[in-house]
Amino acid sequence: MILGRLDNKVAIVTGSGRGIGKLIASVLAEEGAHILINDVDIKEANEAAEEIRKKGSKVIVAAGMPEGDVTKEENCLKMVMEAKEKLGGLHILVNNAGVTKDKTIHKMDDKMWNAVMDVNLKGTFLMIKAASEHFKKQRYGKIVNLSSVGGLGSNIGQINYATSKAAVISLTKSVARELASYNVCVNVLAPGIIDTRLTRAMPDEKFDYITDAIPMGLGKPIDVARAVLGLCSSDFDYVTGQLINVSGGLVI
Amino acid sequence: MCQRFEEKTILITNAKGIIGSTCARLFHDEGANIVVNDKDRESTNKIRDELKARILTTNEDLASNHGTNKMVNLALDSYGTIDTLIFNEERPEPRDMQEIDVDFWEKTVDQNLISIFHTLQAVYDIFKERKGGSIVFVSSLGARSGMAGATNYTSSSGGVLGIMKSVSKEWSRWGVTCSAVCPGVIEENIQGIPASMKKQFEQTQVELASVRNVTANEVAKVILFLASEDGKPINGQAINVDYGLYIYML
Repeated sequence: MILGRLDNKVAIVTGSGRGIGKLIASVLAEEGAHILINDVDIKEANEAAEEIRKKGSKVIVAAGMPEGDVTKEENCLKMVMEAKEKLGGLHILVNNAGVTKDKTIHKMDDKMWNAVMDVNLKGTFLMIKAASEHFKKQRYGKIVNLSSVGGLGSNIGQINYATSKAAVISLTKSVARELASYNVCVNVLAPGIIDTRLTRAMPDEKFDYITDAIPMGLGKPIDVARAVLGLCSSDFDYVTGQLINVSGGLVI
Repeated sequence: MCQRFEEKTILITNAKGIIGSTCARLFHDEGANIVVNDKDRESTNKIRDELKARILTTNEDLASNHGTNKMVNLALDSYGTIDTLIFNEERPEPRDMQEIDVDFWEKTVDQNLISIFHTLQAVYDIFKERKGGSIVFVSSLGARSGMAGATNYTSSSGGVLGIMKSVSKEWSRWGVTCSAVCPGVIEENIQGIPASMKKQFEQTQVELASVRNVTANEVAKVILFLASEDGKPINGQAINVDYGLYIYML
């Protein structure tokens, strides 16, 4: 049901050219938010923007390389500035951009380690840092970081991913403490196994084994997007520093 | 005194800190060969001068593979194997988020975490072949609770927990156990705590008599337990060592 819960709000959603990020941007737009789409893939970002504009929202794009790269502080600052200048403000930041480069510890090289740590952790920090002064001044802001159940329990072959996502949980709690008195809510979601291209790329046997373990079955991207929407809405104005699993009972 | 670590070799990183140096002393008291690494030569020399025997010091920069390999090879040359690894974190000075520039972030988060990653890679063959061993990571209560004025430090501590769980899952098939401690307010480090948190801790201690600062010795004793045979059933776990501070904060 569309309630206009985010009318006149402006949101930056990183990594929103496709997949869960695109759906998050779309759901926020349906509820009235104007959106800055960010992605390193400029083609996908433009396509997502065009699709979301049809919902009646103003949409701008900060994408491609280097502009869409959240690992560079100047890009993060520019995104915040553009949201303010072209969309009329900034109220919501969703740090969704993330990558995986899987290998067991001894087979992983520094490039794989750094690529994942830079986007998932440093990128999240830099975006928060870029937006937080504005949030503090207006005494309002909603920040939602995307971690993963992999950050809680890890998976074999994902030491870089697990490290980055565990760190994002701790980062969220510290930032929440720093910004709480400015009426800025900072929370973190840990999606479980969600039906995406990446999940479907698993061998059938592994896919069945993993999905059988989820009490509520395989999650859908919309489940994550709706949880983000909830945290960005006024229903959650008194909730900050919290980790919420969106995993259908996979982690209890 | 029991000698749980006789003929065992313990490698301790970032030994300059109070937890690292205390661990070196307690493991040594229980018969272990000690290898301590820290970029700060003065601090490792101090430990060597105190322990005198069964002590090797190295001063490598673990942010590079070269440094970790050199440290591990020196340990192997002297003692033949490594039984236990103790990873300590370097604790940066408190800074509000806006004061943390990219250089400071990289120094206090990226380098700390990649140092652990490199060290694990350097000991991979040893732990795989020896079919056993223990690894204890020193994280912090801030990883669990967050800490205003220490976004970088707590992010790093949280990352340490992610590393711990990953290694636990990957290496437990060889009988390697991994765990972490999350110390609360360490008596000897009280000056390094951000002012806002210090006030909160002090208030907690006034209200709840059972909550008090933990000493480095108390933390190190838990680390020794986790590294010992008795600690074997504990794997992939982070243990708060905080006199109940965290549960009080919830």
